Amino acid sequence: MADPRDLEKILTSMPMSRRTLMKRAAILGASAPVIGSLLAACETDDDDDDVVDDVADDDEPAVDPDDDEVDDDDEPVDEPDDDEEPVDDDVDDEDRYGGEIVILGHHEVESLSPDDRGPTVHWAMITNIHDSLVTINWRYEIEHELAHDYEAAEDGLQYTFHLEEGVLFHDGEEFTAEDCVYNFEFHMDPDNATVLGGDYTAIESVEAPDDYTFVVNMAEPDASFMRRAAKNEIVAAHHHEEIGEDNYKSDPIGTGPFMVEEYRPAEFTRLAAFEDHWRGRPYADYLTEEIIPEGSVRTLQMQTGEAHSMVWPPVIDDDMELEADPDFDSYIVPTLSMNHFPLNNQHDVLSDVAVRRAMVYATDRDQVIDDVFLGAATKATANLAPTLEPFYNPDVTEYPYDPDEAEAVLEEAGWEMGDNGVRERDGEPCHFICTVITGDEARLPEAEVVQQYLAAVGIDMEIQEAPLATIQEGQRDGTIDASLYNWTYGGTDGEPDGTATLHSEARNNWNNWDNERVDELLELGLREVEEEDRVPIYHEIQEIVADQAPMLFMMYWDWYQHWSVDVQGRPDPDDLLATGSSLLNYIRDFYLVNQD
Amino acid sequence: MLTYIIRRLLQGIVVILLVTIFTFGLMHLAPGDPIDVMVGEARVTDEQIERIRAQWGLDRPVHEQYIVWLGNALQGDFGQSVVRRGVDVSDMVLEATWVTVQLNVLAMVLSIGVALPVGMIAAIRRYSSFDYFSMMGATLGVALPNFWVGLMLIFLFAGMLGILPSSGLRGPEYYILPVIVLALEQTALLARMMRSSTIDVMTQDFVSVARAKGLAEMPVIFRHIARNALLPVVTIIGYRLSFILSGTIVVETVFSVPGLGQMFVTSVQRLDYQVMQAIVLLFAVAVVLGNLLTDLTYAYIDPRIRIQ
Repeated sequence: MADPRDLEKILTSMPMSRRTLMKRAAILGASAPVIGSLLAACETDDDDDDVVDDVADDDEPAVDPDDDEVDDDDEPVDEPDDDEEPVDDDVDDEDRYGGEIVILGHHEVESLSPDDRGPTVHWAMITNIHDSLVTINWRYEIEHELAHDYEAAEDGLQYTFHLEEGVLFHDGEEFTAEDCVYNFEFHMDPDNATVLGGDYTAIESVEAPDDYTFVVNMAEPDASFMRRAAKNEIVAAHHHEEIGEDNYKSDPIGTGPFMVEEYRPAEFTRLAAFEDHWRGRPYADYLTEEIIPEGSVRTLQMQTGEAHSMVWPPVIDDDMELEADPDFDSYIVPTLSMNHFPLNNQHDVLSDVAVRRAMVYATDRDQVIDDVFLGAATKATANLAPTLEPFYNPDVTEYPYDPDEAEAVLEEAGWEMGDNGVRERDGEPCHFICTVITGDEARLPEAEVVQQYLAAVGIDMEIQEAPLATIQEGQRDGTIDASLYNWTYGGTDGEPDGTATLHSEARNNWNNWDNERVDELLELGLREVEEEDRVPIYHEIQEIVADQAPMLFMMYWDWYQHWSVDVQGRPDPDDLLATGSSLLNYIRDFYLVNQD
Repeated sequence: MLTYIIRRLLQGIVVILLVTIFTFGLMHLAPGDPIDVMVGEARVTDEQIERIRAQWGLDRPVHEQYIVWLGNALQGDFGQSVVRRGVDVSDMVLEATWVTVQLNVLAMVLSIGVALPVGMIAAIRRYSSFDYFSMMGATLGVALPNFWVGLMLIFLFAGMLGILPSSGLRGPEYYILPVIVLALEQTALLARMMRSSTIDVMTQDFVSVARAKGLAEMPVIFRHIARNALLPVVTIIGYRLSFILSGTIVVETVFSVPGLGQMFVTSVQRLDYQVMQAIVLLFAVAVVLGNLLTDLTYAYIDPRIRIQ
C-alpha cells in the first residue's frame, strides 16, 4: 500500500493544500510517526464516542454546520470518489424499489422515542420512524414536512402550521392537529420531566382550530422555536397516551417512511418500508441499524459490502482508508462542537484577559491540527463554527500564531518572567491546572502540545486527568481551572443561540464567564424573530468572544460519513453544510443499485 | 457435609450483601449522574434536571435508596433501567446472561475437551515433538491478548475468506469465532496445568506400586494418574467458573455479542445504576457459587477432604 512511487505520483500530480498533502500521505502510510500517534488516538475515537458521547457527540445527530471555506482546505476528499461514482440517474423508477439498507451504530439503541433523540445512534432510527412539522436539511434550511406551510406572527407570539391531509400513522389512524397538540402539551408539562422540555418553555398554549391547522401561542418570542420545538418528531397521540412514554420507547408509532419490524436494542433495529407513507413508500424494503461497538469491525463490514454506511465513524485512519476507497462516497464536514480548552474566568490567573489572549497567540493551532489530528479539522475563531452561515462572523479579532506578541501582551499586563521560566505578577505565578478526561487518548496529546506552546511564553499549565463528570461538576462549582473537550456554544440544527453555555446564569456556563453585554445579546437574539435582525446580534457576540477569549478556542473536528456507491439518490458531497448525519433523515429517497 | 454446605452458603450471603452495599455506595459517591448523561447538550434548567432526578428517586439520600433497592431486590424486583426506561432490569439482565452463559459453557466444554487430553499426552510423552508443539501453542495462547486474536480471526475468516460472520449471534455459525477466542486462553492454561500436574503424579510412589503389582498401562493412567492429576485442574476450572459471567467483556465487544459484559460496560458509561447494581449482584453470586462448587467437586474427587 505504501509504495513510495505511488506516494510521489500522488504528491506531485495535483495541486493541493498542505493539509491535503498530509492527508494523502497519511492514507499512503507515509508519515509513520504521525500515524502512530493516530493509532493511539483511534482507541479514543471509540472511547470517545462513549466518554464524549455525552459531550460533543450527542448533539451531532441532527444537523451540524460546515462551511465553504473549509471545503477549500479539505478539497482532497471527493475527487477520486466522484469520478468513480456510477451514474444511475437513468435507472427506471421501478427498479429502485426493494432491498435492505444497512447502517452501523456503535452502541445500544436504548430508545426509539423522540424524547431520546440526542444520541445519533438513536436518532438514525427515530427520524425514520417519525416525521415532524418541519425538518432541518443538510444545508441548515428549514424544510416542510408534516406542515406544508406555516406563518409566524410578526411579533413572534404566534405560529400557525397548515398540515398535510391524508397522512396516516403506521397503525392506519389519521394524523391530525390534535396529535400536534398532544405532543406539544406532553413536553410542555413539567411533570412529565421530558428531556426535550427545554425546547418548549417559551410556549404558552397550543390549539387545533381544525384538523389541519395547528396554532402555537408563545408567552414570549423565542426565535429558536422553529429549529427546536417545531422540528421535534411527532408521535401518535392515541398510541402514546394509551401505553405511556416508558413503553413507547420500545413500541413507537409515527408517520415516518419506515415502521419498526424488529427491535433488539443491543443487536439491531430493523425497520420495514411503510407502504402508506404520505409521500409514497420509500425505495428500500428495509432499513436496518446493526450495533457494532468495535470501529475496525464496522470498517470491515463496510469493505465486505455487508453494510452501506456508518452512523458513527471509526478511527481516523479507517476513515481515511474509506475516503480513498472508490466504493464509497465520503461526506466530510466539520462538526458544530468546538474542540476547546474551557477556562474558569473567575480563576486568579485566568480571569486576566491578557493571559487568555496570550494563550491564543502562543498556540500554533494550525500546527496542532496538522500534527495531532492529521489535518482533519478546521480552526475555530470564536464560538460559532464557520459553516454556520449566515450567523458566522469571519470578521473578528484574529490571533495568528505569534509567541512574541503573546509575551508582549503578558509583559504589558505586568507578568514578569521568573527565574524558573514561569511568569509572575505580584509574587503570583502564572500557573493553572488543566484537567483532561481520563484515558482521552485523542486529546491528551493535544493538551501536551499546547502545554509546550504555553511554557514557551512563560505560562505554566499543569495537566491532570479526571472523569468527565468530575470535570463538569468542578466547572459548575468553580473548582476546576481549565479542561479540554468538545462542546457547542450555539449552532445545533443551524440555531445560533448559545445561551446554554455562554449566558452567565446558564447551568453549563463551563467558562464561568460573566459578560453583561453577551447576556443581553443572547436574550435579545431569542426575541428577534427575523433572521436578518438576528444576524448582527450573533456577529457581535462572536466579536466579544473573540476579543475576550473566555475559552482557548482550538478547532472543529471533521465528521466523516461514508456511503457505499451501491446506495444512490444521495446529495452531492459538496452540497453539505451540515455533517453527514443530516442525511439519515433522507434515507427514504435513497435506493440500491447492483441489487442481486 | 450438609452443615458444611449451609455454613458456606450463609457466608456467601454475607459476602454478597457486603458487595451490594459497597458497589451501591461507590456508584453514588462517584461524580456525575445519569440525568446529565441523558440530557447531553439539550437546553435544560436546573429545575428541569431536579424534576427528572426526582422522577427517578435519585434525589433521596443514598442509604434510603439502598434500602428501597434491597427490599425490592429481595422480592425479585430490580427496578427499571434509567436509560432504557420502561424495561425491567431483571428481563434485560436475564436475556444477556443467557447469551453470556451459552458462550462460556461452550468455550469451557471446548477447552476442557481439548486441554485435558493434550496436557496428559504431552506429560506422558514428555520431550516428544507433540509435547514441544502443544506447549509452545499453549504459551502463545496465554500470551496473546484475546481482543487482538479476535480481530485477527475476524479479518481472516469474515474479511478475507468471507466464510464466517463477523458480528452478532444469530445462528450456529456465529458462535464459532467468539467461542474459539474465549476458549483459547483457557485451553492453554488448562493444558499446561494438566501437563505439569500429570508429571507430578507420575513420579509418585503409588503409581510405581500400581505398575509393580502388574496393572496394565491404561488402567494406571486413567485410574491412578488421571484422577489425581485432575485435582489442581479442577480448582482452576472452578475458579474460571466463578468468572463465567464477568470474563467475556472484551470478546463480547469485539464480536458485538449482546451479552452481560457489553451490558455492564454500557451501564457504567451511562451511569445506569439499577442495571449496574443488578449485574454486580449477579457477578457476586456467580463467584460465591463457583467457589462453593469447586470445593464440593474437590470433596467428591478427593475422599480425604470429604472426611475432614
